[in-house]
Amino acid sequence: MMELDDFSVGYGRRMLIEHASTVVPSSCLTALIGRNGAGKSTLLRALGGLDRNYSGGIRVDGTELRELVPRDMARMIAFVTTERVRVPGLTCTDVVALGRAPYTGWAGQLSAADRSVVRDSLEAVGMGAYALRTMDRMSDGECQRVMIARALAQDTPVILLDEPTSFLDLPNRFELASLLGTLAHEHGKCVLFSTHELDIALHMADAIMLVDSPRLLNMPVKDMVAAGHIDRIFRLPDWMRAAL
Amino acid sequence: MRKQQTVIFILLSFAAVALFVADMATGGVDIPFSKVVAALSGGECPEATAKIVINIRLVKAIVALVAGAALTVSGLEMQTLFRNPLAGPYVLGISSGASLGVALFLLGAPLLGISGFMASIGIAGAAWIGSALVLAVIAFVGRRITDIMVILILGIMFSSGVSAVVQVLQYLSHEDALKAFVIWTMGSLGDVSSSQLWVALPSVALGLVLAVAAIKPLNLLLLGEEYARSMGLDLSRSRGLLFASTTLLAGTVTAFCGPIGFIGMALPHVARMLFSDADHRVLIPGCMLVGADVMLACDIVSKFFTLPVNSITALVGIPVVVWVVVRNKPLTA
Repeated sequence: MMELDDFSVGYGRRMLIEHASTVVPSSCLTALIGRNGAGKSTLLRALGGLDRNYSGGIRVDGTELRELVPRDMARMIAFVTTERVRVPGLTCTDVVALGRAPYTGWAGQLSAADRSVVRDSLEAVGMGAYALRTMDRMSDGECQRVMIARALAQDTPVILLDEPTSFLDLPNRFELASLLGTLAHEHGKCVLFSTHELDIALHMADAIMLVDSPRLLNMPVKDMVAAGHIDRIFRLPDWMRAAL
Repeated sequence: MRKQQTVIFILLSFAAVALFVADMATGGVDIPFSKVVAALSGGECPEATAKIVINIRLVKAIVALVAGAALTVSGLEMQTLFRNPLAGPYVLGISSGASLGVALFLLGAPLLGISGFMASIGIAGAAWIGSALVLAVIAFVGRRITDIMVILILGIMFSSGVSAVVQVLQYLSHEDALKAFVIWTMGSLGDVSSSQLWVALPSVALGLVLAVAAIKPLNLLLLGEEYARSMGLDLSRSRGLLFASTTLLAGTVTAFCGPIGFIGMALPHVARMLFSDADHRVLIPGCMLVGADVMLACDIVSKFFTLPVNSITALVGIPVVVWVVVRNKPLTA
């Protein structure tokens, strides 16, 4: 469970979100949506501890994140960024094993328990058969799954993902979103992912977090639609509606 | 570690021993292998031969071995930190800083009429101070910069600026001083005395210890700084560790041997290819061995034809770099 308390974040002098207080529950898939430039990525980066230029509090299971050193932070929140990682010579197992970094010693040596977490994580995203394949010989969708397995191996209560479905074709997008749902519902994670794709957000997520600058709205999908927020933010321009 | 990698480690180690002895057998005076081994093991051998082997060639061979290992490891560190296959030990301006130190020592000191301190520290001391100063400035300016690319550009710009100052000094300086400076820029493994070796060895050893301590941060950095931080990497601490390690490794070698090109840029790629791995637990010892082997080989060739070692390392290194670029498979996508 992730709690925001009087949370404000901005970009330079412009405030994107002001005085937001909300709860992102565990075992719940939450989609983060908003117009371009509304501050989805800024919000995710602040939540993930990559950018500390925010005010207010962020708590995960009751622990205030601001005071944590990087290693402890990495045991609370795993992050999947938009960056496409393809390192020649690095196998899927190697990449997922890096997710154990917050728990391993100075040289990153894996224990037997770590190894089994790595194996289970790869299985959980359906990439068990790819364990020894190197990342430079895989499709975008497969790489994305490996990066998610890495986040899973990090064994955190919260997983944040920045636009995990971009670069993917339609079937892959829905499969990936359903994988995220599995992580939330079966592994009990608090999963928050940003997306441009309304269909994915509305069909696949349990709840929607909407950046409506400077407000941050967070409610179950049905309530969000019923309240008319989606229609208001994402409505087509009037001239286009008239042309239809 | 995979079985194949163990075999490569063993082969590279044997090659290092063989090249080390071969390096000592090569030189102006013909000394056969058997005599080299005899001199080293305290066996029967003429006193003059033993003197050449122990006092001159042993020191030179150790310098070649250490320089190759140090430059290759620091090149690996910089390539991973900057996620750039063309990065090397000199991207942050270590060699231009060293050049400035040496230029001030050889060209500037007589020009400005300075003696005393400058005269006492010697070429190596001046080069070491110069490269450490440049690194300190870059580390200080880069402290508050998150984007590593900005630091890379700063490093390149700063070293170009320093080179311009060196050119001014060259233009104004006397012929003899200029020749001494140009010869320094060609690099030489032979000008290190055994007493200097006792300064260089601990510095390089400390640099290697820091590189080993940075294995986990380096592995995390393979996925980029954002991912590395999200997995618990302390970015400023890791950068500091890598900068310090590179200064000790490349800075020390450059101070005593002059700027030796292409070894640090090319050989990490050779190590990656040989071990077909990106894990720094394999690559750091791998780079030490590959660097030592190739540097010893370059030294043998340069002694055989009495050429400056820098031209040999360039001829060996450039094809590797060209291959990396043409292969069009960068370190990171």
